[in-house]
Amino acid sequence: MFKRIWNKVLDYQSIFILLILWEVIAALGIMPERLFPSMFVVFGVAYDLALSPLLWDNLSVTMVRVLSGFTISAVIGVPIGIMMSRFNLMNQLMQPMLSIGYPIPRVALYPILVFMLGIGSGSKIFLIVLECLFPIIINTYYGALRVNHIYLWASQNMGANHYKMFWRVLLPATAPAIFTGLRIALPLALIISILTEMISSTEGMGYLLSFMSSSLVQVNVLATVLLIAIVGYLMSIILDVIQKKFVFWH
Amino acid sequence: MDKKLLRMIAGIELIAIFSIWQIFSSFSWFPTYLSSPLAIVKSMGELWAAGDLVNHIGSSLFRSLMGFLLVVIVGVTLGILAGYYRRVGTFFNPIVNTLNPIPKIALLPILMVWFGISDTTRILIIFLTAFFPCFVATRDGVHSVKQVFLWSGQNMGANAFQLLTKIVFPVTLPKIFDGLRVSLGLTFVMMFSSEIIGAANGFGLGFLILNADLGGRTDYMFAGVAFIGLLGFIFDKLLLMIRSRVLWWDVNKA
Repeated sequence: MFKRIWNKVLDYQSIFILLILWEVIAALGIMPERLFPSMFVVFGVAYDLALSPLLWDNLSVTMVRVLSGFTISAVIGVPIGIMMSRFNLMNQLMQPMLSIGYPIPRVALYPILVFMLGIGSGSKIFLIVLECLFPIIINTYYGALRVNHIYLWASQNMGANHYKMFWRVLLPATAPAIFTGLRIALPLALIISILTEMISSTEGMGYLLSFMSSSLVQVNVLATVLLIAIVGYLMSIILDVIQKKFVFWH
Repeated sequence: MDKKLLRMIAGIELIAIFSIWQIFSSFSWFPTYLSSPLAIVKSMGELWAAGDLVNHIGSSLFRSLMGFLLVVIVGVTLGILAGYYRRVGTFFNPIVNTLNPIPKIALLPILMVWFGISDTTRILIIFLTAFFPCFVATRDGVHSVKQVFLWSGQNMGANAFQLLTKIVFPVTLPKIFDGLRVSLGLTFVMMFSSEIIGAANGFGLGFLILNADLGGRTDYMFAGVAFIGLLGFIFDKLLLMIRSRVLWWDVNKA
């Protein structure tokens, strides 16, 4: 039992080393305490914050934006990616758009989107969709291209119609690649949501962060960052669980 | 697929979009804040003639390229070491796995307090964001090196250093470039965001856009966005050019 715990500690040694280093710096007072508080104080403040409605009100707003943007881009992106791999016309129409749009930093469009869609959730969700669409489409497209032709031929040979071939062969075979795209897109959605909320918003985690930092109490800012980090980490774990459930063979 | 055909389609699509935009705005079917392509080109010219633009682009590029350079040096080195030496890998993997899904932009207010609203803060936040894709891609690339290559290298009497530089590094290089391409995109994203969130003085394309936004000059805003887009596009193509020059032997080109 003790040995297993010790092994776990050894596995995560780097994180403990970082924590200890932080504590040492905080204890030695190299940086002023107001700017560099001890981690335990930060944990305490984060715990208090987690119990207050301040966090949950803002977190729910952010999560609605992240999840709706993410869902919209998945619902649009996956079919486009698969269609591109199956229909030549679609591919020829979309490919130039992708190669032009992909390297352009689309975040720069945000101030203009604010003009068009207002300062509320609309512009933020639209920007999240813009950012998430590209990794999802590209990964789905290459994944669907790499589906072994033998599977498709075999299923045709055994008399599968288009409908069955899509649902039983093509989609499962593409699923790992789709999840790779979603895995890239999900953190992006959270980043964009918080970023746009920091630029201009009256609610959301990004707003909470800039609100805390404008009050210049560094402990609160660190606690907010800690909570955002936990949210990001939890989201990736949830995606892991979903992936294990749907792509259990991979 | 035929490259020429794709280029032609891309050109036609772009011209179609821009001409529809132009027609709609010249008949004022669009609200005026959407500007028009001709007006944007005109204000791009005005900005260029005003002379400040070189400074804006210069300082933006300085920030993003310094951040990117740091990513290339630190990310690739650490990635290769973490993939090659098991002990280094076990040390870094938990950090990377926990920090990777976290939105690094949240660290911006903290860094601002520690380092001031300066280039250091901006370069650091760019580095922190762009580091992870590069590191992960490099590490996974090293893991995907075929054991046979290493065995045959050892068999022919290569020492550990030679194995690293003559076998592991070249085999990993395509993966490294894949990671760097993602990092480069993120670099420009973070360049813009760190400039627009920090106070709006000094130089930078983000400031240019923010100031135009505050002044309600949407045509200047569009011009700034066009410049950022152009920079992102040009540097992506540059990276691909370097890639095809360095990796002339790689079969599946990006």
